[in-house]
Amino acid sequence: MENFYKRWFKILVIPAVILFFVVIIIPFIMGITYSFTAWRGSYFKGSENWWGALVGVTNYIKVFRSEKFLSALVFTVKFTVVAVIMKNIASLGMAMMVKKVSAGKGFFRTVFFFPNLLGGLAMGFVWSFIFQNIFSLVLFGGESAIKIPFLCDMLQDPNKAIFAMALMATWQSAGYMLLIYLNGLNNIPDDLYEAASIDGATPWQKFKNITLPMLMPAFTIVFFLTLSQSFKMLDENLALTSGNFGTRMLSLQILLSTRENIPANYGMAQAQAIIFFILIAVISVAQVTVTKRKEIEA
Amino acid sequence: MRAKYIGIAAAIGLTAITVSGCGEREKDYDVYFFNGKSEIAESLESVADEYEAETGKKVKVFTVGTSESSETLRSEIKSKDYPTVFASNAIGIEEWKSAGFAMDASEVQNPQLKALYESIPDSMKLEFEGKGNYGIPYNIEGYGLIANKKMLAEILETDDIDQFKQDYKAASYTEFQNMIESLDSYIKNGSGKDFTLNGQTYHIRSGKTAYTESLTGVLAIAGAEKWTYGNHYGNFPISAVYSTIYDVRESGPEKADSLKEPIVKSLKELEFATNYAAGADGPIGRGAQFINSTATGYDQAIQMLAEKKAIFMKNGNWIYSNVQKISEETAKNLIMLPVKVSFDENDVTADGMTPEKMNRSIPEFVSQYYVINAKATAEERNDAEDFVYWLNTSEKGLDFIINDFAFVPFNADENTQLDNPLSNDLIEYKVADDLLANPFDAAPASWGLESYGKYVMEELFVQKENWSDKQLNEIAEKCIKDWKSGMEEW
Repeated sequence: MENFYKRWFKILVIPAVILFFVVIIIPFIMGITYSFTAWRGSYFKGSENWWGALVGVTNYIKVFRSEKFLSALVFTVKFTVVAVIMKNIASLGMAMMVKKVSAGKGFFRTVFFFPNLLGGLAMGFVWSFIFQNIFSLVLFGGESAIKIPFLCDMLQDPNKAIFAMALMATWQSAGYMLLIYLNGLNNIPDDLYEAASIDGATPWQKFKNITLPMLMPAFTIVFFLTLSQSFKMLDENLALTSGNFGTRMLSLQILLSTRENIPANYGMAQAQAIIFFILIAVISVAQVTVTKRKEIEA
Repeated sequence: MRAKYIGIAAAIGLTAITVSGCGEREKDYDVYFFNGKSEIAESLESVADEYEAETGKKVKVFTVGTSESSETLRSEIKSKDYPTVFASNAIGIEEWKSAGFAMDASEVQNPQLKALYESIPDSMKLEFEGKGNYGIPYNIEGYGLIANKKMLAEILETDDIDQFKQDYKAASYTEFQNMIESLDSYIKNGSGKDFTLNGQTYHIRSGKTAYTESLTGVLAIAGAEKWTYGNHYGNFPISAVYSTIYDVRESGPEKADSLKEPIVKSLKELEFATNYAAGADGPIGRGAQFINSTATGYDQAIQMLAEKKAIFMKNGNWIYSNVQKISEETAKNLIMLPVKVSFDENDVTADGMTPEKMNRSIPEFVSQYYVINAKATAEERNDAEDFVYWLNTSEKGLDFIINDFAFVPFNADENTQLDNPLSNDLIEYKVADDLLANPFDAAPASWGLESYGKYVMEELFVQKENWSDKQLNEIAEKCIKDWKSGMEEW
């Protein structure tokens, strides 16, 4: 069997390569090209063909001068920082908890995983109800005995909204990340902990010196996943705040920018998408390199 | 060896799937209509059946919900199975004209249809840069201050609502404010001061009745829906300065500076209105809850009007069917009144417009047009022309438009009678020429929602206290700045 795959590798891979070219590579190259033109979606402004409508880097200059784009970029970065931290702490905490319980391990795993099955839009609408009515009127405001202004009307302030959105995103994806961490925890040999106990290590020392370093491979994966997930978040942003109150993230900004001019300025939207791609590529590459190095050290 | 063949076969098969769909095939329809209004999607299927039964020509209808519509049309019109008739609004035509898809009336082959194109009043023609005639209007829509006339009759103890309507139309802004305040006092205390409209005194009943006891506020306001103020209140200052959508597109940026005072005044009107907003269980003040989508969403606001919790609601004739679903009785009692803004001579600078006319007029506009695809083959265009002509002129077609679509036909006159009383009112305003054009349609694409509406929601509606002049001036300046930067894209 091994031989079969080796011998026919090139032929077997053709369909995937063709698909990849047709669906990803060609549109990507066209996208880069169009970002330098006055593309209006159904036509090129001032010309019949794209090469006649080339406008150089005008679209990119417009993007960097656009207040909306810049504020979306800043907001996305802030949100990503908060969300990555919250998701990692929550999923690692839950993973350690699930590992400790003796009975009903499968039950907890399933329950924590549930939110992952919900679509982003549906979940956003559910949570907007929770934030607007349950949090603001029942639990932490209105007639409630406990008054916590920070948790009221969270969607009407960009800073509070970061935490509202991160809370929802954590609730959704922590169950998935938990599985990865749980797998990592299960791969740590028990002898290490036993040896540490004999040496008189405290639980915190054990966590810091054994669990964390041994978890680096799992952490690499989770960190990478949560980072790109948060950076690219769209559905939840749309359903929860529609980008109101300065909570527009980059994906939503790209989506909405084709509706903010008539005829739609697709060239400029495309330029934003290219910048967006470069940002994600840079972050991913840098982050993979850094965590890989850590892994080796560990 | 077998494995080799399986591998190759799989590769070829997958490749074939990837590139399939590029083959030639016969179209199984004669007319393909890309519709832009989801409300009539179902009725259009019956139109297609009827048309096929009558003429033997098959019509394919495709509808996409409003906000995704232009994206879908963009890709659909470039595909092999392009629509032969499609929908465009007044400002979207720039794209379809520039891309070469919009057919001008001069290219119409069917002489009767050509005559229909030419019969469209100038103010409703689908033009690009003031030239051409590219579409047949779907219908006329309009918005204003919608009231429950039975409620008014009950509170004012009068049977002559027509007289009230005439007096209201002529009333000054101060008289309007006094009326709202008296009505508010009635709702809160069961009594209110007499007020005048156009000099006529109106008396307020003392004590609640079975019909009025559910009232919680004077106006139902959809605070969570930016479009209800962004797109509607935002139009009043524009109408005060610009006469038509072409005026908006052709004037220089400096003209936008005249928008400032009118914008401030329209915001003041919003402040006044939101002081008297009805809620589900009592008056709902401004503040965080005022923009809560489960408290002041569009459906919630309509429900408050339908369930007699509010006397008025600012919105359009399209709310009729939603009200009807909740209360048949309220729906048939709806009347349309003009929205009043305290504009004076200095604010109203648009050609042919005066503060008095603005005070008694409502905005009416064509939301969509039927446009024939200029890039379709001659035969397809012929079929498309016949279909558009049939739909807009034949007895059966008009019956669909009036009774099934519940549209106000663009050529409606005083003899047109519709089920929707709000639509009948639109015709009445049209016949009396008490109309504001909708230059708003030409404003920078996101101005209503992402400037005016956004500032109102994020900075004003959430604020319990009164709005300061400084705040309003700043917002007006931001709106004008956004307007000018939007103009750079034209």
